[in-house]
Amino acid sequence: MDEEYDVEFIEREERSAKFLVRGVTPAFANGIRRAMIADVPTLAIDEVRFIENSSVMFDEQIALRLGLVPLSTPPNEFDEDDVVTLSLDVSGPATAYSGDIVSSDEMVQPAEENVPIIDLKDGQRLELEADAVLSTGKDHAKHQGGVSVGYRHLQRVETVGDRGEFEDVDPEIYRGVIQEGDELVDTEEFDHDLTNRYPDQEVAVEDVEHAFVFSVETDGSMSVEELFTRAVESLDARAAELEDAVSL
Amino acid sequence: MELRVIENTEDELSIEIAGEDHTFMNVLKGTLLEAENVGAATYDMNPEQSGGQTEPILTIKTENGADPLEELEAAAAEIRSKTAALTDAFDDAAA
Amino acid sequence: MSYKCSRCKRDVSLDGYGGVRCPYCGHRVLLKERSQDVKTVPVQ
Repeated sequence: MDEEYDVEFIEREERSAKFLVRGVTPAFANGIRRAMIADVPTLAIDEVRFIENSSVMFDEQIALRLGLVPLSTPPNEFDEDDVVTLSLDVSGPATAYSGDIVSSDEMVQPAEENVPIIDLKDGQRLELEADAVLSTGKDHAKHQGGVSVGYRHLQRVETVGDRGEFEDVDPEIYRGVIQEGDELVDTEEFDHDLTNRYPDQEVAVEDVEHAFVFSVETDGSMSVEELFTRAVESLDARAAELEDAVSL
Repeated sequence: MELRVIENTEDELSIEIAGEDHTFMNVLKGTLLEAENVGAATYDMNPEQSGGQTEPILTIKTENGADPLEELEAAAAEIRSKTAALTDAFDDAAA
Repeated sequence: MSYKCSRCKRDVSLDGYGGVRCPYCGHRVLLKERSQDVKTVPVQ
């Protein structure tokens, strides 16, 4: 298949983006989606050593909460066996937040500073050390870099005639991105209802083949661009492995 | 990724691809089906229904005398060229 | 094993001979304290 790939950003922010990919097959689009969710590794706390915990919660409960704090994961800096040590020491009365976690590695920081871990009352104290490791979402959801990853077909909208003047108009709800001629329009612009955009016309809507609009949101451990690139890389790595194994 | 050939004839190949799931198997199957000389390609994840087999099994049937193993190799290469082209296109858009 | 007397709040350590009793005030209700060891917990 020598199809032309084309990527176009529709929305682009630090942690979320919407972009159109042309030229991919449904199988490939789904492979990328799945790889973004389950196969791109991120750092997350995997072992906690409690030095003092006089809070009202069990060590295990606090450990679980710590595991879910997203940590920034710089690309190509860590291997699966690497360990980053973090520590936390908060005395009550205070709330321990993810931002209180002190990292031994400047590159690895909590991606979110305002995740409450536990409220400590007067006299209570939490002191611990934690090890963060690199792993994939397949292993545990705390290692999932993509928190919301999906795609929809791009849809082509064409006017096919006028609507009868006294006809009852039912809403025509579409969510995603539509194509009008060469123009891409987010359905948000007309409240997802085509009858708002074409009040007097009949329209025909059809999926554009091999064109998918990805909506991706990350947990902050890496950018959307990073996540996508590494998901594609992981597919490539597996294809390379298969190619090697078969050619032997 | 460990491969184990289960059946290999002139125009048919059954091969176990250990350690893979739908993520890669479906991409591989989809790419195989695009090849001209591949008549049928499918995979079975076998959720413990056949004597504890849990690894995916890929089955390829070829046409016009093509060697299924070569088709598999070509499909893997095809995936690699797709990923490379897609990465390039994405980097262009992201730059 | 470290305990704390529930009445006089003093730290008590038991030796196995004196029975369960606070050596300072004679109270028989002792509270077990958390161990000073570092506890390692896997996150799962």
